[in-house]
Amino acid sequence: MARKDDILKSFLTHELLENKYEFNKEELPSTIREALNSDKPIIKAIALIVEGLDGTSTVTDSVLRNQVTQFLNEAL
Amino acid sequence: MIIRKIQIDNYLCYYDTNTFELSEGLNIILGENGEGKTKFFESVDWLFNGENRELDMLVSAKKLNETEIGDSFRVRVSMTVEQYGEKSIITKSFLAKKEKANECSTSSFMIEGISENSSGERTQVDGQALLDRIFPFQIRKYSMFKGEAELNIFESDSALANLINLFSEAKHYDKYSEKGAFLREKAEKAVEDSSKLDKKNEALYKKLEGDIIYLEREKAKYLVHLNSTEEEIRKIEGNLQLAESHVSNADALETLNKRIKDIEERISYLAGRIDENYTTSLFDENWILVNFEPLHKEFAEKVSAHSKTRRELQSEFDKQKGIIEGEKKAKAELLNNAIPLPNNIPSKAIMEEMLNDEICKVCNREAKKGSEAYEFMMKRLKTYLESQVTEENETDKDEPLFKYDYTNRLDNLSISHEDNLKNLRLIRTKIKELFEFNDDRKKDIEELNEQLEKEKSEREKILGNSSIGAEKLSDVLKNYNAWQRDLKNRNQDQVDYTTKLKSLESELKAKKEEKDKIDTSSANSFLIKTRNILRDIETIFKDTKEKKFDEFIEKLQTKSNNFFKTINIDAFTGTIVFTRRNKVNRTIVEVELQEDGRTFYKPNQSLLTSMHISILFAISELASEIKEENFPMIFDAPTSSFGENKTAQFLNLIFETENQKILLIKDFLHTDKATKTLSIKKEFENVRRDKAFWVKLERPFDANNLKTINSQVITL
Amino acid sequence: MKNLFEKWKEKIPKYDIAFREILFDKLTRKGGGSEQSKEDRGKQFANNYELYIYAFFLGLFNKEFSPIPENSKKVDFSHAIQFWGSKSNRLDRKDFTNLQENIFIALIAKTDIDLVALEKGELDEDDAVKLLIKTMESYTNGGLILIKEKLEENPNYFLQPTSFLNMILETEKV
Repeated sequence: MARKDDILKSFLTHELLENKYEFNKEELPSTIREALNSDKPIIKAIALIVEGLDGTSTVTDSVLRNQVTQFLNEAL
Repeated sequence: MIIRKIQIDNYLCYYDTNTFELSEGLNIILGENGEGKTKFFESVDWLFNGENRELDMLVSAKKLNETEIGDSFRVRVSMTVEQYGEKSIITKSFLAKKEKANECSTSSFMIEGISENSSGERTQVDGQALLDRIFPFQIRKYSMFKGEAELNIFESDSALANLINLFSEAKHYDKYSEKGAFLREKAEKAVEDSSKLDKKNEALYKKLEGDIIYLEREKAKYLVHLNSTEEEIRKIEGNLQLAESHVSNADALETLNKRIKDIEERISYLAGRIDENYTTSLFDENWILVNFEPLHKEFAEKVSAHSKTRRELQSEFDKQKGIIEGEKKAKAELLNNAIPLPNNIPSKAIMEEMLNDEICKVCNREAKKGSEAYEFMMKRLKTYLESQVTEENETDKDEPLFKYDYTNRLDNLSISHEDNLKNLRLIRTKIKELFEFNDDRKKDIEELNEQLEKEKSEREKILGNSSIGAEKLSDVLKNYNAWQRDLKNRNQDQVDYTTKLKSLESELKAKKEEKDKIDTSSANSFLIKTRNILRDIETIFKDTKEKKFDEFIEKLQTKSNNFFKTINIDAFTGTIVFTRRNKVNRTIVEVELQEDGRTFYKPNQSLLTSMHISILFAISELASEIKEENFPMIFDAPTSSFGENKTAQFLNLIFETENQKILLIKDFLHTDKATKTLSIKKEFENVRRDKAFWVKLERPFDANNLKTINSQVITL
Repeated sequence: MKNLFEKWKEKIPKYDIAFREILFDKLTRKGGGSEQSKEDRGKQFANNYELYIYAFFLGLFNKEFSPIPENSKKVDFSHAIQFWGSKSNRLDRKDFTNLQENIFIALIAKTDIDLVALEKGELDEDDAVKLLIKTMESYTNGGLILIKEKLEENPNYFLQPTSFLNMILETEKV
């Protein structure tokens, strides 16, 4: 498993997602690819950040911010 | 990674060229004190970390002596290592030029790197970069163990944190908590800007922002206080333990200290319960009214007398004026033409209640519906109700006898304070009770103080039976009591600061919630949702990073303790504990030895050494796991404080670990008393090892003349 | 319905300037600040109106009705009775409403006001309240004299935490 998938997974096991967002452990994606297709905004946002920071081509702060904000703008 | 060869040229006692062809596994270098062991260690340390100054101090005196004035020679330490089948040679050297007898000038040092691939092709590379690549400096730092005095790598708390950061997965998470904070801050700003557009909240918003900044600052301030207090507490505890280590009967002392602490706590609890703010109670508890009852009586009589006079006058007035309705009628209905009670007595509520229950509760007689008594009450109630509604209009019609009614209020005051009288009567008892309570507490405190004195003198007696001289003892004693006091105060500070922090945090939370509320009502809802999600993401990133960090610490701790127990087999050890502490701007990791959860401040040297060696082994093992390769470790005289048993355990352990080790020891050498010749003891044959060397000075030599000093390397 | 209490509460009673330095400045903490600052400065009374109330009751219980002499300058601390002991800014302290009412009760009991004339409108309300204040000032003045005499006898008398309480408790014997 690629490191970015490992990192994603470690974030998705955070209790906040289960307690506050009430996600089921089973439905959580295990790879960045799956997560980028998630219908859950917070998961997709995390995936975007991980892809931005540990993906094939890393991005600058402002690009990262725009990506996340634009996505959330459409999703929320 | 394996060190294949170390070559030392003209470095201090290593005259000319000296080569150590090292093996995998355990390499033991034997040597008497002063014959070259430590210089070997230092030359490797110089290769790894040496600075570019006072290089002339590193020159072999023998070589310098043999060199003609004006001639030069090279001082060099070189290491050949093997990693993944590739060979690298790293050489650090400088040129020494003899200027006159016993004096030389030196060039700056240079580090050369040569990389040789598997087919024997050699390339020149940057030596420092090569060294850092094959043997990262954080690992190098924890690969060298020198003697017992220099263990400062463990005292530098941030060094360990750096190592962990580098090794553990936590390092991948650093950028996430940074970016998480960045994104969240931007989103907060967006919400704030949008909220500020809403003019009506502007002032409140600004105030909240100011409050929040102030509270954050206060919080940071108290965090610093708390941190330094905690540090102080640990320092004082250490001092106390050190002092206590001089005491023969440590158990009894501990029991006494506990008892003294208990007594002191009880005294402060009792003192806190004594309330002697008598002057304040005069007001707050109304004690000042203790003798007020006669005055109340005077007042009540005056008011009721006036009320009666007023009604008499009114009645007379009404009669004369011939007014028909209302009170006059009521008067006619009373027996013996008596003066009627004021309209409002009994009150409306009470009248209604009596009508409802069909009982006159004033005379305690039945007043069944339809009875005369019932009708009387009903009429009175009506009269009262009418008087409330029509008062204004009626006064217009006719000039009344009384323009104003002060009596009603005075009556009410009198009635309402009637109930208060029983409280006034209780004041004296209450005062007496409080005095008795306080006296009892004072007596308790007195008794406790006596007990405390006794326990303290008992403690002094025990401290007196100490193992150090009387003069020093008095110093320790003097400080001991002062430290105990300090400890008590600092503990109180710690409690205070913690409470203060908690209250600041809750205040801060309230302010932030208030601000959020304004945001929710005035900012764009998309911005708020974005901010909320980014807040959560930041939390997730931060927590995960800490979790990874802690997991690594946990691992390091387990491994260290495994080694620790092995070296100290069958002996008391305690537990090595790693603690992460979040300081204001950084994270630090502290190591300490604990015994049943209590810091063990004064472990003996051998325990301390074995603890440090265990941590080094643990780090080395973790480095192997993470980097998927082994790194060599070099120990200079690690066992001098160890007994035989422990040394044997240590040698076994060191032999069995997978990585390459270079161990410098002075054991197993024997000097013949008659001939002064050195030889290696037979026992050395039984020591498991992969390779052994013997460094010894070329004989004869003059201990006072450096020019005669030359360490020879004998491969055994 | 008319209310003398409401009217009286709005007033600011006065005291003889002679007591300002020797009693009010000495025993009370002036102006704002926390309860803590009372202890910090070693004052017995958290506020000058506390001393005023104390002196009033002391004078009252000892029947020391002693009007402020005509030739004395009268001063006050510009704090109307209704604000005495109000809860704001007085953490850990209690409200004084009950004390205010009791002071008023005592004043009505001890002041010769023709209530009939008042209710008939022959006596002006303001004049009635003036009489009440005069009574208040006179008992307070009497109380202040008693405190001053105690201090003259023994300057350390009030260092005891019980001294002010004791003076009140002892009035029963009088």
